[in-house]
Amino acid sequence: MKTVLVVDDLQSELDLIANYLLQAGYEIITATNGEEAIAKVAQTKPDAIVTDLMMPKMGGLDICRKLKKNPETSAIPIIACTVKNRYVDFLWAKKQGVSAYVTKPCTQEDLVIALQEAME
Amino acid sequence: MNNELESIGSELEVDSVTKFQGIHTLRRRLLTTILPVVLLPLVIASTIGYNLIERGARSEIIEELEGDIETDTLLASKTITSFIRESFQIIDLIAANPEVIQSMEAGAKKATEEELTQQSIAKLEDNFASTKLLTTNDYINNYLRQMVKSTRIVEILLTEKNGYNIAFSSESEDFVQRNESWWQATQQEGRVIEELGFNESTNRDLLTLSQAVKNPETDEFIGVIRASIPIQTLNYDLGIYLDGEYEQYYQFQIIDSTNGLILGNIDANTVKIPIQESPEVKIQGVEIVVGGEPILEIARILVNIMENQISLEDGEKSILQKLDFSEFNIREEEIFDDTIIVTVFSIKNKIYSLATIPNTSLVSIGLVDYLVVPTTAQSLVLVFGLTAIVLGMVSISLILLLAKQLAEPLSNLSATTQEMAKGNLELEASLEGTLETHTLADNFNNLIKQIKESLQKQKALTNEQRRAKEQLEKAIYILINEVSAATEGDLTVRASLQSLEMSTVADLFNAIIDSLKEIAIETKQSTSQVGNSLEQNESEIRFLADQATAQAKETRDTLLSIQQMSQSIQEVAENAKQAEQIADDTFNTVLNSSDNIDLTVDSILELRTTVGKTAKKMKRLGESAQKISQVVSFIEEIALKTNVLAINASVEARRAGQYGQGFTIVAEQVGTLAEQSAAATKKIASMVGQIQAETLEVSHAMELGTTQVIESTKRVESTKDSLQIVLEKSQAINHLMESISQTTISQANTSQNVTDLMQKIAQLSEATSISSNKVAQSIVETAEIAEKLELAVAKFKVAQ
Repeated sequence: MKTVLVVDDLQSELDLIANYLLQAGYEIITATNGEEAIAKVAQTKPDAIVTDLMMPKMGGLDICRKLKKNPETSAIPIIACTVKNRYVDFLWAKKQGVSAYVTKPCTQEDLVIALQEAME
Repeated sequence: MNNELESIGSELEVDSVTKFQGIHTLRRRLLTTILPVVLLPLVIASTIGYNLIERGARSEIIEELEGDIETDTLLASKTITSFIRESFQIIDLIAANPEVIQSMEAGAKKATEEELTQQSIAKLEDNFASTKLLTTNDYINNYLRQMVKSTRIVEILLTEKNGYNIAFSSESEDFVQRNESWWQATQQEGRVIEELGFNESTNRDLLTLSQAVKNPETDEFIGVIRASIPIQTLNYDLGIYLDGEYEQYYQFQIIDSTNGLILGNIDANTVKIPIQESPEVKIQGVEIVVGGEPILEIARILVNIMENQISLEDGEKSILQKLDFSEFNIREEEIFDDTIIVTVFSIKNKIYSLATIPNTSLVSIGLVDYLVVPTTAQSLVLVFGLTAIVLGMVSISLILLLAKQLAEPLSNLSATTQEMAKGNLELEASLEGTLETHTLADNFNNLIKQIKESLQKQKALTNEQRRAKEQLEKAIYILINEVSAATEGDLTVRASLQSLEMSTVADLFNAIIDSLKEIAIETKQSTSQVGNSLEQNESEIRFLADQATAQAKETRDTLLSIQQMSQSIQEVAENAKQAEQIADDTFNTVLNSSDNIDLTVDSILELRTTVGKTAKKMKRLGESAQKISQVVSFIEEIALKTNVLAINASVEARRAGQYGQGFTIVAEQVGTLAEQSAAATKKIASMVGQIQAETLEVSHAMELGTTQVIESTKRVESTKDSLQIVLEKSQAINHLMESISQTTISQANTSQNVTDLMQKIAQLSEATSISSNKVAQSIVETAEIAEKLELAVAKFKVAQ
């Protein structure tokens, strides 16, 4: 069973996504900010990370850059899940190493397909 | 909303003022287009009508003028005829005076009695120079002066039948007139009108008439009366008769057709001046016949017709031949009892009329230039002009009315649209005028309605955009606030990701700041390492550099010494070479000396032998001399004996007598011969003795020379031995010098090699020194750069 780390500063959003993925059969760990997420990755080595982009202090792309620099964590696929829906946002995120990009609000199906594609 | 509209409106207003400059209003356009269309035909019709009528009027006028001028010319002709006739009537009156007839006859009688006709004219002139008169008749002279006072005649002269003056009003130049052409002509023809002439005594142009006087009873020629009348009088007469409607455009001349001289010239100026004030103008030479030669030609033909020299038809034909006329008419006019030949014609816009003056060669000419004559057409211009102006004004009024009706609805609509363009959209265009203007106004109203709606939509959209823009500006402001500290080097700042619009940009900033932070940290570490390393090694590097410099200097010094040494070796080598040369020369000299000495020895030895041989020969010479002296004594003896013999012979000969005389002479000669032989022998003996003595001396000298030669030989030998020793020594020195020279040359070469080598070493050392200095310098610079870098990076503030 694959482990997915879900990161979001809003508890409601975090729960919703975690729920979606639980239902899809993933094992879930959560974090509510960047620092916590980095710590969790170091601890548990998840198979993928689903993260919000707009968070205080450390954003989703900060996490992404940090993990991509570390050879031990650079291979972990990262899926951005955000309300930012402009094409320029998508391009920037891809440039920073994000494997898949899902715009909120999203269905469970959207999320799971993106996750599966990223993990392949 | 109103503000916006007003701004748009004001723009439109400015546009319409500048854009439509030079475009006319409808009313003006109608006026400028329709008015010419109406007025132009009017003007053309008026002009054509005027021209037609004016042309008709002109031909009428020409006809009238032709009639006038003909009449006036005839009148002039008649006037002249009357003038001349009246003048002759005065003369007739004088001729009819019995006193005149009597004085003429008396004069003729006196001339016959005194046989004046037999005398020459010059003599007669002399005889009568005091009075210039044949007889002085005070009555007649007074009578003539009276006539001059009371008539137009200014001068009268009477002659009797031979042409001698008998009376005059004023003194004549000549006494005899018979030789004058006028007098002769008068005698033959009865009456003569002389050619026009200028009289200097009266200072006037004068017309002079002469008439022959006949005895009323016998009808016999008894004398001549000559009278002069001023031309001005004639002009005045003409002026009185000639006037009319166009008199100021006329000109009249009375000419003499035979010579073209002008008797009278009348135009507007001369007519208006009364005779009393008439200036005393000399006509002759000043004026010419009007129209020139053609007119004069016609005048001549007319006179010819009058004198019945040619027929009227021939005259016409002749004119048509000579002059450029399509037709030419000449008429005869009977006035009172006179027949006047008259013609009227036009040349170059001028009408001429010519009329003859009966019984004279004079012709009167009338002329009028009909182009300058103002015509009745002037009144026509006024009529046509006024008509055109009235019609034009009516047209303008009609057009203005029409333009007003057409243009008013449009200009009202235009005013409304202008008002709306200024921003007042609440107005509505009124529906008036034609169907087109109705439709236009209605469409315009609809257009305004649509504009109102679209303006409202646009306003809502603008507000929405403004709000979004403000939001974006706020987000940008926040971002700038958050990250501006980074420009001062503070890399601890972070852009928040709250704003949806700006979060990507904020993230970009964050990424850049993170990268900068890493770079700053790494640079700080590197620079401090460089600094440390440099600090540790600085003294060693400096030492190295100094050493390299010192070494370079020493090498340079050494090079200098070696160069000096090399130079001195070079000098030694050259000196050695010279020494070798000198030694060589010396050796050669000695060698030559030795050879010479050998030759000397040989010569001396040879001399010795020669001396020896000579001594022997001298000895033999002595011996020969001895033998010669013996022979001489023998010859002496012979001579003695011969002498004796001769004496004997002479003795014998004397004995023999005369037979022996010849023999005596021989004996004497033999005796003489013997004496001569004895003398010669004695000379020879003495010579031989002398030779012997000299030979002995030579022999002694030879002996002494031989001894000296032997001594010399010995000395030369010893010199030769000494030279041999010198030669050997010199050869040894030569060898030695050669070897020294060779050695020094090789030494010089070697020293040159050494110098070259040292030079290279010096260059290398110099290069090394420079390099090491540069290295040292670079290291120092590196240290400085590292320091600066450290200082620069120190600005960056990173997390502890």
